[in-house]
Amino acid sequence: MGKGFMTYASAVILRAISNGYLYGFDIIDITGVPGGTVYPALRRLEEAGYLVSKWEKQSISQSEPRPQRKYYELTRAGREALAEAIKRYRLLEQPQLQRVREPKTSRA
Amino acid sequence: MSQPPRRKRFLKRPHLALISLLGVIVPRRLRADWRQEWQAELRHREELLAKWDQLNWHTKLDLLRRSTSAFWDALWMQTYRWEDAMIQDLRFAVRMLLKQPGFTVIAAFTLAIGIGANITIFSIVNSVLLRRLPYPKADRLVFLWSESNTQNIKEKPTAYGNISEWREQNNSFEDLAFFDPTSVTLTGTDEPEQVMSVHASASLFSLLGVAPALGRTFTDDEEQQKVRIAVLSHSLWQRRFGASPGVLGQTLEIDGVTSEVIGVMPEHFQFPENNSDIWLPHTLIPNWETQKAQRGAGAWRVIGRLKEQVSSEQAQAEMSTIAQGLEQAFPDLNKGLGISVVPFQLQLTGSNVRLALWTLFGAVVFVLLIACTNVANLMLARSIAREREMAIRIALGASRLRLIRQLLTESGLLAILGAAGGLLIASWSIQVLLRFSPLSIRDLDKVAIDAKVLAFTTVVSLLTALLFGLAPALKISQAHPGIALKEGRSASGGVGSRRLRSLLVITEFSLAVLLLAGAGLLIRSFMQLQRVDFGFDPQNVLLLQTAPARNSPADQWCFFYQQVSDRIAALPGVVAAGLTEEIFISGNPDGPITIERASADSSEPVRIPFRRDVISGDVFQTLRVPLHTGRFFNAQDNPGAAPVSIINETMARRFWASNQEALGQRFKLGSGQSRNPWLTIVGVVGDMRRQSLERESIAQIFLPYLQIPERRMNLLIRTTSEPTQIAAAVRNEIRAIDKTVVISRSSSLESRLADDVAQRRFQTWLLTLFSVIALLLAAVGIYGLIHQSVALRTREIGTRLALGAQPRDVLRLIVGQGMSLAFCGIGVGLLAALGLTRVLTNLLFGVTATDPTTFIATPLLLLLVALLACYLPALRAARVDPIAALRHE
Repeated sequence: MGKGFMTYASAVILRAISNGYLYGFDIIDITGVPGGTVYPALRRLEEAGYLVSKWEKQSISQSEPRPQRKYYELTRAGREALAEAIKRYRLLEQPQLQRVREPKTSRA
Repeated sequence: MSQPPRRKRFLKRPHLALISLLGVIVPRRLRADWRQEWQAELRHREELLAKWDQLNWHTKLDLLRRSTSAFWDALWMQTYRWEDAMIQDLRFAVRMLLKQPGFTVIAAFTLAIGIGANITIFSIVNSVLLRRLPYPKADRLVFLWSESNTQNIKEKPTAYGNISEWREQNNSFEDLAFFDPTSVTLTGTDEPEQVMSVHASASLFSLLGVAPALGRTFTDDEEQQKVRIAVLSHSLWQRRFGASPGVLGQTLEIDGVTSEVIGVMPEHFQFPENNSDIWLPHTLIPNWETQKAQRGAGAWRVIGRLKEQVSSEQAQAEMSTIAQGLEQAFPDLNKGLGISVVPFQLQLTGSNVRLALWTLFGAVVFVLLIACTNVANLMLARSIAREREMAIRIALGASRLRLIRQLLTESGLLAILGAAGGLLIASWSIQVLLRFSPLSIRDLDKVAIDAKVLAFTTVVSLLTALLFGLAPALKISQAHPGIALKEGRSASGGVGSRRLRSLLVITEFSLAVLLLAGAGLLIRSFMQLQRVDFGFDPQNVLLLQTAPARNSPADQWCFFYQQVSDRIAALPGVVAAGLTEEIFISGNPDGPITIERASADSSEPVRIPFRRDVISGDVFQTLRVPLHTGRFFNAQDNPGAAPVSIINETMARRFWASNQEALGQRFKLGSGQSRNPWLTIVGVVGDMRRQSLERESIAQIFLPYLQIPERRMNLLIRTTSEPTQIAAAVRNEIRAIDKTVVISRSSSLESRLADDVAQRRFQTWLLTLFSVIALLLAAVGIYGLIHQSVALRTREIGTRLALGAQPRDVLRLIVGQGMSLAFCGIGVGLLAALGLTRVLTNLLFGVTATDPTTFIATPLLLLLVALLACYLPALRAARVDPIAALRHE
C-alpha cells in the first residue's frame, strides 16, 4: 500500500493498537471491523512499516505458562500516519475508540 | 513451554485444533510463527473470558467462530509464497515448457482435444440431464402411467375412473393431478389461432408448486360447475393481450365459446410442453360426461407428488398392488393393466436420449484417457532425455518427493494449457453441435458453458494432470544418480521405462477398440436404417394442417374440404393432393377390434395396436403407397352407402391368410356389442412406417371422409418441384374459400421426417468423430514409441546390419515389436468391447450388440493403422547405415 493513503479500516486498526488493543479479537470487538478485514490489514500495515511485531521473551511465556505472544507496536511512521488519518477521518475520535486499555499482563 | 498430549489438547480446544489445521496452507517458512501467534491470541482471549473448562457452549462456539478469522489471515499469507518452492517449481516448469515448444504444443493440443470433447459433452449432459426442473422439490414429482404388460405397451394415459381409484387408495402421494394436452382454436379475431391447450385438474398447479404470476388458478368447485375460465401462459398473454395487467376478467373466445381469463402463469412455467399456452378445467373437455364413467386406459396423463419419506420404488410397489386390486374389481377393462411410476426428470428426457448421452459421455472419457496416455508417453520419452538432469539434482541432494513435485508442477501447467485450449474448442464445438442437433432432445438449446461446466473442467484437468503426470514422475524420480551420470545417456531408457510405455500403448489400443466398436455398431445401425423404406415416398410433398371453425356444422366441413381438394389439385405444379386426419402416429395407440366371423362365438374382440384415420381425396396416390388389392375410396362411399374401410397389409396379415382374403370382410372398432358400424374392407394398401423409421408398422385403418367427417385435417400435396415454393399459393386458395380457417405452418414432409433420423445421425456422427480421434491418438502413440525405440537402438541395429542382417530382418524386428503391442491391446479391447457394447443394445437398429461385421472390421482397421504407424519408423531403421550407426555417439 502506498504510504500516502490509508483506508478508514486501516486507520481504525492503527488507532486501536495505539490504544493498547493488541490482539485481533480485541480490535474486532472494539472497532466492529470484521475479522476478514482486520488480519490482512495487520499484515499490510506491517509490510508498509506502520507496525512492527515483537515476540515476547520466552521467560515470560514459560512462567505463565502459555504460548509465546507476538505484540504489534506502532512505528514512528505508523504514529505519523495515524495522526494524519485522524485529521481526515473525524470518526476516529469517537469515544469508544479513545478508550485506552491497560495491558492485562506485562509487556515484553 | 509445557504442552499436554496433542490429541487431547485438540479435543479439548477445538479452536486451537482449527489453527493447527489452517496452518497447513500457510507457507511453510512462516507456518510455525503463524500458528504460535494465533494460538497465543486465542489463549489470551480465553483468559479474558474465564477458564476454558468453565465456559458455556455458547461462548465456546463463539470463540470457534472467531478463530475462523485465521482463515482469512492464512489466505493473505499466500502472497508470501512468491519466493516459495512452489513458485520456483512453477517458474522452472514454464521455462522447461518454453524450451521445448514442439513437445509443449503437441502435448497441450492432445489434452485440449480430450478435455474439449469432455467439456462439450458434459455441457450437453449438464443442461439436458442434470438441469434442475423449475418446480420446488422436483425430485418428488413422478408421472404415473397405465401400462399393458400383456401387449408390452408402456406409458399409456389413464381413464378418469381409474385415477379416482388411485387417488383414494394410495398412501404414497401427497396429491395426484391429471391433464390432457390437446389444442384449441382461439377465435373471435380476424386471424384464428390454434394454440396448445391443457385440460387439467385444479390440483395440477399446487402439486407442481407454481403460483400464477397474475390472478389465480381454478378451483375444484369451479371444475365441478364447469365454469368457463382459462389460465394463460406468459407468452400467450404477451401475444394476445400485449402483456396488459388488465387481462384478468377479460374474455377469450375458445373454439367459439366465450371464456374468462382468471390468471397468467409465470414465464418459466412450461407444462407439459414449452408451447403449452392455455390451461382449462378438465371438465371442459368436450366429452367429459362420457369420459367420467370410463375405466382402464384413457386420455389422462397423471402426475403425482411423493410424500416426504416415500421413494419412487415404494410408490411403484404400492401402485402395483392397487393395479392388481383394480384388475380384480373391474376385470373387463383393467385386465393386464399395470401402473408404472416414472420420475419427472426421467420422463422429460426419455430413456434413449439419456442412454445416448451417457454413452457419448463415456466415449469422451475414453478419448481423454487415451489423450492422457499419449501425453504420459510423451513425457516418459522426454524423461529419458532428462535423466541426467534428474541425476544431478538427486546427487546435489534433492529429495525424491521434491522431484515428483517439480514434475507434477510441469504436468499441472500442461493440463492448465490443455484445459484452456479445451474450453476454446468446446465453446466452438458447442456452437457447431447446436446447429446440427436434433430438435427432439429437450433443453438442447439451453446448452452453454456455465459455472458447473467450469467446475467440471477444473476437476477434469486436475485429474488429467495427475493421470498423465504421476507415472512419468514416479519413474523419473527413481533414476539412480550413479548409473545415469556415468553412462552419459540411456540408463533406464531401456527396459523399465519402455515396459511402462508399452503398457500405455496397449491401454491406448484397448480403449480405441472400445470406442471404434461402439461407433461401428452405431454406424451399422444407421446404415441399416437408411435401407429401410418408409412405405411411402416423402419427396416433394407439402404438409400443412387446416381446420374450419369448431362451431361450423359438419356438412360444411365436407363441402370445405371438397373445395380445398379441387382447387389445390388445379394449382400449377401440383401432381396430387389428399387429406388425412394424421400423418404421423405418436404414442402407442391400441384398442379392441372385432372381426365378423361365420361362427358367432369366434367374433371375440381382439386388442391390438392400431391407428384409425379418416382420409379424403388422393392420399395414397400423393404418398405413392401401393394398392395391393381392391380399390381406393370414391365419391360413392358417402353417408348413404355401406360403411367401408381400407386397411394396411399388417392388419390384413394379422387376421387373414392373404390380402385377397381380407377383401370384402367386415370388422368393427370396439367390441361386438358396440354401436360402431360394421366396416367392409374394400382395399388393402402397403404398410407405412408412420411412428418412426425404426418401428414396424402397426395395423392402420382408413375411413372415407364423406362417411365420418373430421374437422381438423392434414393436407398432403405432391408437387413437381420443391414443395415449399407453393405453400403461399396453397394458403391463399384456402383463405379464398374460408377466411376463418386455421392454417398451421406448412413444411415439406421430408423435413419433418428428417427430425426422426436426426437424433440417430447426431449420436452416430459424434461417436464416430470421437473414435476417429481415439484412433489417431492411438496411432500417434504407437508411432512415437517405435520411433523412439528405433532412435535408441540405432547402435544395436547397426551392429545387426554389420553382422549380416538384411534390412528386411530389421524391418520385421521393429514392426513385430510394435504389432505385438497392438495385438495385445486389441485383444484386451475386444474382450472389453464384447462386454460393454451390450449397454448400447437399446440404441441399435437391425444389428446385435455382438455384430460380427463390426467386431471383425474394427480390429482389422486398428491393425492396419498400427501397421502403418510402425512401418514408417521401421523403414528408417532398415535404412540405417551400419558404419554411421556404429560411430554414433
